[in-house]
Amino acid sequence: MLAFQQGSEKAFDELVVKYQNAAFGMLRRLLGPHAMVEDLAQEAFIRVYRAKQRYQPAGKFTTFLYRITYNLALNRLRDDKRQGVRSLPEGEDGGPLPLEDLQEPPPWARPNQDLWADRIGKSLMRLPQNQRTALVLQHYDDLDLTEIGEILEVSPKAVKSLLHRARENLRELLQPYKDAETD
Amino acid sequence: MPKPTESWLEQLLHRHPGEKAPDWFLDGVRNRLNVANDPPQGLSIWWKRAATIAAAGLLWVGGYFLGQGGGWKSATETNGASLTATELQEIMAIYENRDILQSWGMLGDADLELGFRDAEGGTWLLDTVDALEEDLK
Repeated sequence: MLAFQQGSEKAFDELVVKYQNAAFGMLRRLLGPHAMVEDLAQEAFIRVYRAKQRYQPAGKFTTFLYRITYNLALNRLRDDKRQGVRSLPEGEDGGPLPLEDLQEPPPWARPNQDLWADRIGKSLMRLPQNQRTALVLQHYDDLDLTEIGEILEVSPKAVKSLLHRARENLRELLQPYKDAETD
Repeated sequence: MPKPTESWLEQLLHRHPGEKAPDWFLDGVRNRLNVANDPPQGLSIWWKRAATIAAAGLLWVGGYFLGQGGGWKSATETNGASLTATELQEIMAIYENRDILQSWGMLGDADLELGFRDAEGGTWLLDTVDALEEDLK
């Protein structure tokens, strides 16, 4: 990033290649399996490009990138909500359908790995977005409480609470599937 | 990678592989940057002036209605009575056109996006819009 700030376009390309999967993965986990994330991921790096003079070398580049990516994801979630776009089907009362009612392909039609990936993806989308974000950033991106707090603009203590609730909620959602597999 | 000491939940979460960017991702970013940096020839000066006037007009209209009466109204204080549906539409137009204004290169993140989601200012504009939409239903 410092080389890019000093004018190296090649350095920017290297940044994109190095962090593109991280940005993609984060957006996919935050926005769900059906969202179009490629344009948002591109937008994140375009904003990095435009904001290079504002970047403070004292901070980590990943925090800077994830902050931008998170804001883009928030905007998309808010826009989808306004337009009535739902990431998952809903029940008659407008609430989310129980996981067991969501149509799943029979076990023999898909490898077990894809089925669990699908269940986990849908379970993540059932979490409140701040819990989901905290969990994704910690588990998949290895960020610590302070870094997550900088991105979510909350204290590390609040992040710890979000993570605890996120895991509790996920256990409750995924336990039935786990029990069914071991039965 | 799963670790033996992790709980069953942590081990399960590893089975969600996320998604990798396509091979052409960098090209896509560069193409968008090139388009933003190279406006159409011949009409570039005219487009910039028209875009400047349009952006100024949008911001002036929004700022005028927000400034009427003076002072900020928090989302909890706003009950929809002091902002009409037309004023709400103007605010929504500014918000929804933020991407267009940014793509023209007229206003950068510091002016637009952070203005909507500034750390200090909070998300007051978005919260106000949400509150007003609820009141107008």
